[in-house]
Amino acid sequence: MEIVEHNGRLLIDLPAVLGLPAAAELRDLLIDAAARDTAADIVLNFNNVERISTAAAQVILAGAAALRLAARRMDAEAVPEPVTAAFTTLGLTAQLNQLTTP
Amino acid sequence: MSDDQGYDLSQFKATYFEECAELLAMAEETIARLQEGTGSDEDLNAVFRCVHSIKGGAGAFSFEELVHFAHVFETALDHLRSGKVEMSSHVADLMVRGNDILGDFVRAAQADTALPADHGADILAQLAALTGAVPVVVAKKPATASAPPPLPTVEKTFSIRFHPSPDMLRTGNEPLLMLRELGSLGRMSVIADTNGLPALTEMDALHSYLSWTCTLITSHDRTAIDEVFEFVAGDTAQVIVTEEGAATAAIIPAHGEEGDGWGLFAPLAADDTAKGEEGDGWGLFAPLPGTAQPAQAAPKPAALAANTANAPAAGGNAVHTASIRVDLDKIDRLVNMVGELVITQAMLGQQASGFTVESHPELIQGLQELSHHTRELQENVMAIRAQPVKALFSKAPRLVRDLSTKLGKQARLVMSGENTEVDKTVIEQLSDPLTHLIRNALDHGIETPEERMAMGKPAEGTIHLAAQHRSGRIFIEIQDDGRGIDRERVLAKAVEKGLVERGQQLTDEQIDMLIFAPGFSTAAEVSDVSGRGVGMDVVRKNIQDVGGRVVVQSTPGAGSRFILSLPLTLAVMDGMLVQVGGQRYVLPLTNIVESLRPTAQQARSLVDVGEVLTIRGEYINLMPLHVVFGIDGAITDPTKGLVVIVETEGGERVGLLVDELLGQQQVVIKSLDSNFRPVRGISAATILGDGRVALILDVSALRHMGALALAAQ
Repeated sequence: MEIVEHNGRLLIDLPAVLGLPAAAELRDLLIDAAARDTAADIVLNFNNVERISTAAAQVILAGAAALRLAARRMDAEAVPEPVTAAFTTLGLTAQLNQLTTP
Repeated sequence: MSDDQGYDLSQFKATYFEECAELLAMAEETIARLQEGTGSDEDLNAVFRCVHSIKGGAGAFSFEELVHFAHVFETALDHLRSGKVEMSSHVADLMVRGNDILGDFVRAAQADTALPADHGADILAQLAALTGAVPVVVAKKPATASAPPPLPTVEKTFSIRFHPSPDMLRTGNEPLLMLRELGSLGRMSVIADTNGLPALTEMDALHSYLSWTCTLITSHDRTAIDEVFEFVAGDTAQVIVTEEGAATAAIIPAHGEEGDGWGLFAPLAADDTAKGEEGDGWGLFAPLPGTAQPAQAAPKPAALAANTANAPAAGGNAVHTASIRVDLDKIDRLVNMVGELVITQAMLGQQASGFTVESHPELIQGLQELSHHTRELQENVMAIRAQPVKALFSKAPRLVRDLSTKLGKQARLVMSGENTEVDKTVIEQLSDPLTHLIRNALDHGIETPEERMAMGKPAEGTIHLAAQHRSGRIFIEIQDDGRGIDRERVLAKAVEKGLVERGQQLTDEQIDMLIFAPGFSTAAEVSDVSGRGVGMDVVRKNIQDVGGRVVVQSTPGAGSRFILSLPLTLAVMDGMLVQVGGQRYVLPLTNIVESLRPTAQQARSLVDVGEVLTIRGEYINLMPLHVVFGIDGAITDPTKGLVVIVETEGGERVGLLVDELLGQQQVVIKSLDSNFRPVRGISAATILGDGRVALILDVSALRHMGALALAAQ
């Protein structure tokens, strides 16, 4: 994973499996992105994601909260059904909706 | 699992089913003897008692099909033992099959499954035919013979509080999968608690921060939910399941690592557990599940706040376990070893008896300390086996309620001393007697409201159940304010049954004790509540088996009081060693009132009474132990020997003539019943410090034996 600047936003393409190692890596990337001296929003591209773990969901929630404190926003794009279902199962539908709603 | 008043019945059911397994096995073994033709009348009584006991418990838990089959079975057995039906190979075979079917009903009740409607119907019909009755089919839930246990069709709503431990993700356990599996059991809504989520920079990606409260509507039972969390509950997650409408929540059992606090929490309502923050010890400390109080409703937030306040202020989940589960065998081995230690200590004391403090000060001091520590050790080890009688008493409210409804009577139960502790074995043995006595009080003692009012009594009867420590023993009393024992009727029945000869003169006390005779009953009609007479027989036998006694005091029209006197422990006791001729006996210290060497004026011989002792204006029967046991070479003159005045449970005093007192000591009780055979007047045996065996005297039995021995002399 890496952070790519794209159309004035910071884009992170997520891998197919957002398991424990990916969650740790995503955390580091988000800390990096949130610390950047920019007002750019962060976009998580879920297009390739097939599976997501609770650990990754936690990191995404914490990342979104960190950006909100900095008056920035995190968006989730191309969220596939397995991810939506996982967030629903985890009782985090509302939190996901906040990321997907413009 | 709880009844409609919120009493947790699961532990009692578990105990009941354990007892059933034993009773079925015992019945099977005994029936086999009868089948082989080597059995006796007592064997038939034993089978009858087994079936009756199973039926008794089944009635308390409303296992109607089981009660019905057991009732028909025991009726057939009753006909057999009364000689109305003759034993034959066919009848013996029928008993074997009857016991098998009874076992099926027990196991079905235990598994909460329904047997096919016609299960055992042929055996039931044959058993009923023995007594000339027509079997009645009990309405039951529909089921098919070949179908697996049917799934419950009624939907239940569960609230599941799932709080993973911080390290749960590292151990490879994925909450998402568990919640998904949980959701597959029915319709589920999930609320995630994200309050524990830290700032991103402080976050450990492999740390679990979320917790969930799920509401699941499902046709599955609790077991299916437990299975979802089977591998994490207790160790890596706290899971609290509450069934809507149930009085108490249940924590999925913990495997419990010491210091992690898992499994030590009281049931909580789901929304309240959210208050417990990580790091505050989960904020949920309270008595262990086994000691949880029955709740009338869902746990209240106020109670939770109090519990939380008791939690350690810091240290997070650094909680020390309040208790551990220990295999009973290990405790019994410990008790045995302490018993051996007591014997060894007595032996050392004996060896050093020739030494004085002046000649061997350190040795004597060491022995005194050994004695002190041994006693302390023994008391503490015995305390491990002690349990409050509360567990036993808790059955009573339901029993009284159900039975009084069934009998159309009004009764209230008053209990006291529930926290009195007694040895576990004694508690187990008390279960049947207590049930029988309460049933008896309601069935035979308490009158109908109309009868009571006609007698000027309140319409509602009272049954008082009490336990207390007294003089080193446990006393359990069951008192009712009913009609009392109808002595005239009891005596007539005893004569009719051949228990007493016509014209024989009996005291009130002796007549009252007739109700404990096997097969004695004055009930005009046999019911499934009581009235076969087997209950009181079981009461006395179970009490005697643990070294106890039962006494009945009754006042016609005012009620009856049954007093169960039980030993605190079955392993060690304080005794007084006495010498009679060449024999040594142990007298339980709790029975001894005083000892003296009477003067010639104090020891007298009265016509029709025999030897008596006058002390402070009171006459006490004198009983020479050498006469009772036929010992030669003992002191026969009371003025040259010693008289030990002992008191029985009934409060009667008797003076035992012995040669001398050898001293007080702790003795380890060794059962004569299991190592030899029951001996009248002797409650047990012990091993003395010099390796000799001494017999422990049964004071109450001695009183009756003494009268007989003197009369014979």
